Amino acid sequence: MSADDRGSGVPPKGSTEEAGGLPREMECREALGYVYEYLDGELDPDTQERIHRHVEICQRCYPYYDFERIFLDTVRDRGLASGDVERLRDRLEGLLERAG
Amino acid sequence: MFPMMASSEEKREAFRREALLHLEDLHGLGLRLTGGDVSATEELVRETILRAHEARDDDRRSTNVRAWLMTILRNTFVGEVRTRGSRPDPMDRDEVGERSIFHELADADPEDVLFDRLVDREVAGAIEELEDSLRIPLVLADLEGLSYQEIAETVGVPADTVTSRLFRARRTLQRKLYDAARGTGQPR
Repeated sequence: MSADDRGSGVPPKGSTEEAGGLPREMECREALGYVYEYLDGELDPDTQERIHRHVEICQRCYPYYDFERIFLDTVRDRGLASGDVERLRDRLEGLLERAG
Repeated sequence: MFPMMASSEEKREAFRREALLHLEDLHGLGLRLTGGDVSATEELVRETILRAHEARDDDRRSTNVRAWLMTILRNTFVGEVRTRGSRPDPMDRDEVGERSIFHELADADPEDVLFDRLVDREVAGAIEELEDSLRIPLVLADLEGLSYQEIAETVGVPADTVTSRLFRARRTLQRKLYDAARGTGQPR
């Protein structure tokens, strides 16, 4: 498992470590491990805030977070693309007409 | 002077206009959830519209018609998956390479070398190629905006399982998009 993944010694969610109390390397591991939970707003407020403060100033984590954010935005913006629905629209209009 | 009551014909027409206004989004969500199965998607959309039609006068329904229809479609799909008994198998996130593509880009601009090269259909197609257990949580999170807990309740798995499946889904999707952007992906 790579160093940027969870489960590689990352402190548990909701760790009681004081803000700024973690060694830099541990802060990076925490930030890298929880990237999606952070971007999804799924962490507890203390962890969310601690990671936010770290990522803002970390030259290693900031570009990584930026990349993952762009990736998720791409999925969200383009993932709902539909095909041609005109035939389906015609069928549904007929269906609703009959349903009354 | 009292406002004129809308006739049943006017109400029916208003519902038809509102519902079909969101047809492309419903169709897109259906395609992603079914993994690109066009006939299953059309049946899903048809069932959604019928259910909405039956409940159109229910005061408890959301006033956000798009969100209401998307919820009906999602619940209809999940209900059918559960009925078929094909709930996704639990998986071990260690099974696949999960390293972020970020580490392969070096100093390149990710938008320039990766995401700007993709067309919408490539993104949608890559999502559809994911296996059920990865695709469904990803669609619910990234296209529907559900929280991990909401996904857990919808799919019927623990929230921690949602977390790990979303992680795998996104890393697998990243790899597919990266390969597509570089022109090395499997032809569709």
